[in-house]
Amino acid sequence: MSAIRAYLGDLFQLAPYGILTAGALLLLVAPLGGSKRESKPMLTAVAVLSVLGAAFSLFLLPTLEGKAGPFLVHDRIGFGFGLTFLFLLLLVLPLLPTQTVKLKERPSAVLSLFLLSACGGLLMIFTDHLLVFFIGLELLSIPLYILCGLGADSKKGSEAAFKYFLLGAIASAFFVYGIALFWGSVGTVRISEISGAVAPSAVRSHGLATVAMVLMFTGVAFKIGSAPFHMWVPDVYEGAPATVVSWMAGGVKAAALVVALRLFGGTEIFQTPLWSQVVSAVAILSMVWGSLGALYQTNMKRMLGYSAVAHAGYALIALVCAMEGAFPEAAASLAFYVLAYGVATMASFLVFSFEEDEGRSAIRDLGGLAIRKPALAFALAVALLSLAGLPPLGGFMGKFNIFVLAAHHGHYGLVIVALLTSIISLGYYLRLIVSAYMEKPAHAASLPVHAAMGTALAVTVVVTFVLGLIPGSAIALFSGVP
Amino acid sequence: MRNSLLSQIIFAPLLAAVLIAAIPKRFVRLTQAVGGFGMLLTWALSCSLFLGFDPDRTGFQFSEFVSWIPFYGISYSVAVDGISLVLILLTTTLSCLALLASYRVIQERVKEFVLALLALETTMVGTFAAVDLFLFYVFWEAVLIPMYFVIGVWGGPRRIYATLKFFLYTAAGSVLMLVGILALYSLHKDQFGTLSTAMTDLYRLRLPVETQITFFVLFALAFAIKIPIFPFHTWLPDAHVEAPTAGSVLLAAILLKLGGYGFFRLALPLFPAASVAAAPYLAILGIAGILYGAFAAWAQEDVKKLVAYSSVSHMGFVVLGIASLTPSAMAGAVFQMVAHGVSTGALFLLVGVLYERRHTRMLADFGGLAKVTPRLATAFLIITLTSIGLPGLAGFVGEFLVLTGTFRSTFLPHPGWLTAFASVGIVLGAAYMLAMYERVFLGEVKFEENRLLQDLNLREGITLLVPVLLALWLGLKPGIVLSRIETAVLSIQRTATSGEKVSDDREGDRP
Repeated sequence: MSAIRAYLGDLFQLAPYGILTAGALLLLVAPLGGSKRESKPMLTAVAVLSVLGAAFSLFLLPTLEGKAGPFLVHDRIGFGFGLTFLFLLLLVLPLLPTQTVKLKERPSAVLSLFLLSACGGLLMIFTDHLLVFFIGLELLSIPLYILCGLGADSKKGSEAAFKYFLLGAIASAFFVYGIALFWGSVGTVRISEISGAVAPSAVRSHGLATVAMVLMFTGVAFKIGSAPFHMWVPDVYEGAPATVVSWMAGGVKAAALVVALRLFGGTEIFQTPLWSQVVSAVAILSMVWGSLGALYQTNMKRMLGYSAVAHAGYALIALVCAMEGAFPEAAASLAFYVLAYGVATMASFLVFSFEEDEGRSAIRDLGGLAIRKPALAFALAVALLSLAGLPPLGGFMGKFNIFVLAAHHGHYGLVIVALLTSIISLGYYLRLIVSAYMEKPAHAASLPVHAAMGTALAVTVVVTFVLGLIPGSAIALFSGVP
Repeated sequence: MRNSLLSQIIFAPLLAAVLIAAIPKRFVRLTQAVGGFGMLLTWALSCSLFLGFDPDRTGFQFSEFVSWIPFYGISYSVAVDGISLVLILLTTTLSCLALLASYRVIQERVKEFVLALLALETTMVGTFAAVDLFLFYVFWEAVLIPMYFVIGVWGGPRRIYATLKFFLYTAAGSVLMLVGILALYSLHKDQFGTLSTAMTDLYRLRLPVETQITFFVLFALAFAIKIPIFPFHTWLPDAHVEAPTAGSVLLAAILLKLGGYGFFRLALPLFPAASVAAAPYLAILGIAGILYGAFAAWAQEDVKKLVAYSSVSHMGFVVLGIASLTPSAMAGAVFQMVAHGVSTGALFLLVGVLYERRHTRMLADFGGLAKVTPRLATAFLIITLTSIGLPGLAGFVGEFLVLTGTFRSTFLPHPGWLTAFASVGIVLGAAYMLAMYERVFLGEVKFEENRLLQDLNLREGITLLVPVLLALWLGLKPGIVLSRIETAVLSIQRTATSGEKVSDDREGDRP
């Protein structure tokens, strides 16, 4: 009996992934029942229930016995990021079949792809096995390649999808090649084994290991969207449907950052001064290139794409600290930052998706949003000011966490660059707010805002304020302090 | 005293804002009434704070402490000493006047305007009341957001340019202050082992002179942009001119004082050795501001821009007073902040009155108005004389104290010459203000439109009567302010100049 229980316990460890996959498959076959059977609320309900089920089972996991086997590790860091990940997914999921013009046609396919992508992301978050990283990475990315291209009736859409696919595939190839070389030189593909028993002296060939690390770093840095591997970000963000981008900007980044954290921060091999400098350089490059690039954009999504590059830079500062021995604090501040940033970016892109559905994508088309749709404008303003890092919003607290950490490790240079680029970023965020609030409406009042969008935006506003004003519980949650 | 009066004062406007948010926007009168009531209530509470303040006690009073983010040792800690007390009362008074002045003037999006003013009041009072450095920074930055909207939505033709310049310039300085805050926080952890951002804890830090100087520069830059100190003043003329009347009033009367307050609360007590070292440079910049602002004002044809530059000039006295590091000069600086708040706030109100009638602010378009609008002319005259520094009115006390303090300062080189140069500023002030008055009010009525101008109505009369009375009262009985700021100024002056930290007894115990 206890053997069966143990077996079930072990099996239950796979529950989150299983639920998501089952939901995805169910959604895929739903249209086979005939077009009359395919009702959008039902499909949305199935999708949302799958996500909720996965989240619930995640909660239950620590209380049950069972090992996840050699591939998965359900630790606190994973939980922090994983819950953020699923939370962001829940915000955007109900919107997909209703709001986005391009995606409305095939709701079951879209929802199913999202769930598969989420499953991949969760795999990336809850593992320390390099090959599972890779599987998760592919499972996360491939549905997104498709989603970017779905409903692409314009050249920009096709370009976005193709560019993302091509560059993403190359980055994944780099990554897996790096894994292979890494295994060849170090002899293991489990991170915990590297950091624990295996000292750098056991590395069979330092040259090979270094090459491997560079390749893996390239792959991950691409996914995070950091310079100089960021060229795809503005184009893809511009061409893909805004709701898909809102998920990419938040969720995908979260998953990629966990990989980076575990790989670079969790192993001794990367904790050398040289690697710290490399990551610092990438961070500075991202912050500067991203901020300056966004200044001259006229397309809303493209501008936020460059800002995503800058934010990747801020996140990398925490990574630098993780690589210098402050792993738990860095993980906690990164988790907080991802939540604050993910929520704010999602809100911005959701507002942009509303504009997009009416055919508008230029910044000046935002004109008078405050008069046409005051609630949307308010949510956008809160989100953008949070991204800029102004108190008392969540984005400020997220940056503050990272800056305190960096200052304590003596990285004042990084902090100063980060703060100065924050000022520059204000330049373009304020431009969006100016357009929304301070210009006359360029068009008449238009489509109504769907309840799902309104709810999602309201949640983002509340979360942003809560993270900014009462961050204590979130910080405690992420850092494991009771 | 362990009560929540201070928090009530800080958050009452925000509470009113929440109430107003629920009112549909077509109920304009109701919105304005609720907003006005909220501000009056706040003002009344601040009066009770003022009356309940004990001038003879050292240290902070009315302190409140709530642990906010224990993970970082950040707390919601507010308290007042004499300096913040008078500035808070100034804030609440002028906020009421600003709201009253915008009644009927702001016609579009009134609800959002009232919300912005209320949010602004909360953040301004909060900045003065905060005694936790993190809380101070949060309020300091948060002040920018409502003001940015006030200028950008309801301002003049070049409002977008003006508000962006204002926001980015000020935020850049604040961000440098954040670097300083992070570093201080780190140093405190190293020196004392505990995490804390409470100012009283940070006052205990012992830092070598070079470190102090670096920090002083970081903090002083943020304050220098706010005050503004020459040459960081270039955002001010545009922001003041393009802002709507209520915005200009609050910007000039209160926001500029945040910078001066920052020196008293942070830069001087935290970095005393650096303050002494920097004093001569600050003094020179202050005098430069006095003279530059005065000459620039003299050359203006636009009344609002003239008043804006006069603000630069008057705040130069505040800077000089701070830099002299003597008790009388520093007390003069605080008094000047209050007096300037009253007089410049009134000046912008007056300019607003003119503009609302004639839709022009150019001196050339006026002339001889004293015959047409005698009440306006009287109010304008009294405020002009206050601004010049005529004895008997509020402006004199601050400038006089600053000049005597500077003359006797042992921290400045050639104090006699510096005082002489600064005094020239007073003469110039008389020149441009009286010239302005003459061109607008005296002589013959030059244009027909001017003959038909209405004199002050009841609402405008009230908004101007208050500053006029305050100008007289403060000028004749400056003791009401001076007696309350004395202990605070003395203690800060001693801390800044002795190299030893004189301990401020913190009122009440921490739980």
